[in-house]
Amino acid sequence: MAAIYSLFIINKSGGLIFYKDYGSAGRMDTNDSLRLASLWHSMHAISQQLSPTTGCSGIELLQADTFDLHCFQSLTVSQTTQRKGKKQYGTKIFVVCEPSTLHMEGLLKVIYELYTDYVLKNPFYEMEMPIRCELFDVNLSQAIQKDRVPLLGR
Amino acid sequence: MAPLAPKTGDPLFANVERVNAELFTLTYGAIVRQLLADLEEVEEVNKQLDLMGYNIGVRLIDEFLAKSNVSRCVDFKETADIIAKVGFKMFLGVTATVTNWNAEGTTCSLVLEDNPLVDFVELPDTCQGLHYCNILSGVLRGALEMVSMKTEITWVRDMLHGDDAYELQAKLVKQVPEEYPYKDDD
Repeated sequence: MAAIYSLFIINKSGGLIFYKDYGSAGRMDTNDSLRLASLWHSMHAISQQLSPTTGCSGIELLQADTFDLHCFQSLTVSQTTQRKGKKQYGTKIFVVCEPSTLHMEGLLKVIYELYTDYVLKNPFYEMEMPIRCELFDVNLSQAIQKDRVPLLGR
Repeated sequence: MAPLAPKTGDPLFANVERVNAELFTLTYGAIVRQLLADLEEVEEVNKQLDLMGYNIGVRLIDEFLAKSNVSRCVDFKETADIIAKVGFKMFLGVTATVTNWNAEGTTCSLVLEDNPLVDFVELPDTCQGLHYCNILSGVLRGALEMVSMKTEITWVRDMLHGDDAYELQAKLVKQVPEEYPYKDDD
């Protein structure tokens, strides 16, 4: 059975905009989750520069003994950092789950679609700000619930 | 296994939720009418439509990338093709053709034979300078900016002004390079 421990969404500047905890152990408070998100953003960026090949888009999978971390980064970048000439990053969605959980890339894609539908299309949602969209929460829970049973063909 | 990127937008168009075309056309018409009443100047309305389109475009691009599974385009030519075949189809239900490439491959024309925004529309004499579909130029500009391409999108032909088709000229001004030198600390 797939066990997802937590879900993070980071905006293009590395700030945490969404955090959901599903596991019972290792529950983090707000400050810790913010710190972890910034840390992941930096590590992800460094991994792109450390890569021996060009065109590396960053860490997709981190495997540890007690968890796996799957990460997805969008191709869209921030307009403001473009103007300042700084390095640009996409929106990152990453999920921390039980080791060897399957279909997490598919789940990340589904969450990205939910983000584009229920967050971006909300006219009152300000880009790059913390996500406070009820529809997103509701649909996300449904998507995660469905993933309790291994999904095929995603 | 990830699904392959579509070469046409037809399967995508079949899968996204659709709205009544007339409702869409009438709603857009109401927006333009209201802008004309509020702003009075045709140039102001053109600018406002472009700005509205820009704000739509910066959000629309994520949806396009999420649902269409296209990967990063190699060059502007591929980008223009994807916009014409997949993008327009997915959101407007019509395809455009790409023509008039310049020598460097930075400027092209997107030609629309069919445009759902302008069904039932006739421009009065007082609004001859109005680019009725200017929201589309804003959408393209906003969407492309979010994927690191600074563009200028202008209308070349407009059926409401008597031409035989709708033609948008897309000019790539700046493509921000992906690879950065190691030292990028400020």
